[in-house]
Amino acid sequence: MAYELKLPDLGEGLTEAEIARWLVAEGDHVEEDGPLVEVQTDKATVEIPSPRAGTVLKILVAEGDVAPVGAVLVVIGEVGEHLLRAVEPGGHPLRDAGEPIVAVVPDDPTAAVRATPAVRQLAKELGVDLVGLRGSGPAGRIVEADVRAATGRSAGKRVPVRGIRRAIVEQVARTHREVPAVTFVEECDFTGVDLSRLVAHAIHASVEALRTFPELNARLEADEIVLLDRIDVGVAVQTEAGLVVPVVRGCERLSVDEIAEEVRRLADGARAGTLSAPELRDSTFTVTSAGKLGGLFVTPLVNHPEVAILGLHRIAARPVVRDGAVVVRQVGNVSVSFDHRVVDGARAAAFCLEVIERLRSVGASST
Amino acid sequence: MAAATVEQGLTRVIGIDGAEDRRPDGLDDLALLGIHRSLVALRAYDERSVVYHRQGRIGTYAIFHGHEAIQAGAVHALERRDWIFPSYRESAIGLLRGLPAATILQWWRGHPAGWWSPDEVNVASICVPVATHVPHAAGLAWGLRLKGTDAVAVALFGDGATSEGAFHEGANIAAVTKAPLVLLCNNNQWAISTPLSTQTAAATLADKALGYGMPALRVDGHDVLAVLEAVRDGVSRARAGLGPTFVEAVTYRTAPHGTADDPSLYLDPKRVATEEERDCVSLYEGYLRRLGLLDDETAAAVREEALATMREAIEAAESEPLPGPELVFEHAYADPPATLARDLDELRSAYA
Repeated sequence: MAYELKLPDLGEGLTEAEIARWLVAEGDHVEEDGPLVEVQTDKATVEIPSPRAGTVLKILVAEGDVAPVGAVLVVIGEVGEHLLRAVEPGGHPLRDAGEPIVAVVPDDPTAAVRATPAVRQLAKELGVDLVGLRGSGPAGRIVEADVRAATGRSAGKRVPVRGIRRAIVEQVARTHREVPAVTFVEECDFTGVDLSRLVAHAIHASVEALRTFPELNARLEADEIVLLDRIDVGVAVQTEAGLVVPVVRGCERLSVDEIAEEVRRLADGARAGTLSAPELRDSTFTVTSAGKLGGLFVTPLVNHPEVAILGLHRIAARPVVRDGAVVVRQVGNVSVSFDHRVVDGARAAAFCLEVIERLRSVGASST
Repeated sequence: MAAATVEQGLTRVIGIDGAEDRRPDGLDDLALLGIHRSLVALRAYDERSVVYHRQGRIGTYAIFHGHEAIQAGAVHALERRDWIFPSYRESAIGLLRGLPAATILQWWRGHPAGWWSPDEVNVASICVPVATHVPHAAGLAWGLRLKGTDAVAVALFGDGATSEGAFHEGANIAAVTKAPLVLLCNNNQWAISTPLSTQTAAATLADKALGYGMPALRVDGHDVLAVLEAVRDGVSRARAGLGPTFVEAVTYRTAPHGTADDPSLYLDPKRVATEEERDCVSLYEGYLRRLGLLDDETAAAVREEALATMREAIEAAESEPLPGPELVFEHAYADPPATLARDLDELRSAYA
């Protein structure tokens, strides 16, 4: 007898969860209480152990997909059994209680599918598996249109959106949707600045400047602008899994050396994937530096719900005019992208110029 | 063992850090082994319930891993005529009074078969609101005294409960009326994610008892025999008409608060590892082994028996038919108003 595992409410009143990782594949044998699937809710990631021993007949919700509570995630049966007809992951939790929605037959499952030979041939040509396909014809018969509809997916390699990528998708889309951002750019003479400590210097300079421009270390909550007491600076770090933004806490109390050390620790941790969730959230301002890949200029996105982000762009030797003569200096662009609902352009510009002046004087004092 | 985090000065029976084991008065070998079976029954219930929750077979569940010693120690200090008032953290304490595991699983399934009649087992219903059962227990205990019986009551609650108004009201009236009550506080140092340091400014929770005019005992909550001795002392005072006693059993919550909680956001993994090294079940099994009362074979058999009980219990619970939706319409009115009847019809058609 097939067993349908429905997504339980793993929290208290949760309505959905993301399938983080399948720990079994279709056709695998699974022991009772053996690991089946990892599910990520708003509250925690938990492993669901299998309620039954048996063979994994059908996985209905793919990794990275979000399923509502009550959705059938997987059907577990006996060796040699196959699904006879479609299983809908959704369904009506009240009506379906105790009522099996799958049947199981041994041997060739396609023999039990209702479809004409012409439709079977078409399915074969198009590579559509008739088992599990819902028929729209009389008595649930699968018709040509059903088979053609089942192929209505773009061709190409399919990469599930999950984990860090899912978080990026949500965060970036939200920023783009909600934040009317404007970017101010000015060049900075970095000559003499130790570029290995550039991010730490930029954080320190930003923190100093934020004391004068507190509206850039703020957030918009309903009809109030909250000028935050703390300055916790997010640092954008590219990892193999995607972009993450670990947070340097309490920057207003830290020296450049202390910031540099913390940035190094967080960047190493981010790349190794060893940072804990609290180290990756609740920043109040962000600094992003793309280093050599920065280009002449890129357009950073504000890290919602923050209202401003400082961008450091490519620094290179360039000819500039000093005292009427052309000289070669280490020059790069510095930008501030800001939420124009909260921050006025002139204030953002003045903030950026103060950061630039502070960075310039770091270099000037070391030469 | 990292002795630094193991609090000194707590009363213990089982020796740690080189201290000698003691043997409490009046406990023969059979009694000691009975306590072991209780601990293992609770452990098996808890472990399996977490699994059943993940599998969608029971609802949200409050985990009590590591707190079995407090529950077993309390029950074994009581007589059958004494009353137990559990919070959600002690949902399965009725097992030690003969409640079927299936009944308690049904409670977590939200099935009416999970309701029991408290006076059949002298275990009150599981209290989910924090500390509201403390006044209930005080009132029942006072009533026992007024009726002239020598039975007593024990209320179990956590550190967070001591911040609640109901705790204050219950403790106060119990002391004033000399109610035969033991207030057994499982201080596991976390109220969901709120640490004890932000829960109270008191140096210890036992200090609170002074203000109510009742004595307090502080014991190691990992040590089932230390809990038993302390509760037994409180029970003796209560039976003698001397009123309530506060027992603070100090533990540490190494598990999630409940099945919806992710404690990695606030628990220190090093502390968790240290506390797990002196897990209450293995601590007690070590004690029994030193006495020559337990070997691997017996330990495995006791555990297997407990697990078999759970397998049978979940099957029994799941095979029970679900109640109809009309259940939610019962018990409120003797003569239901017409609007309620219409609502019921509408609900029935939604299920049809």
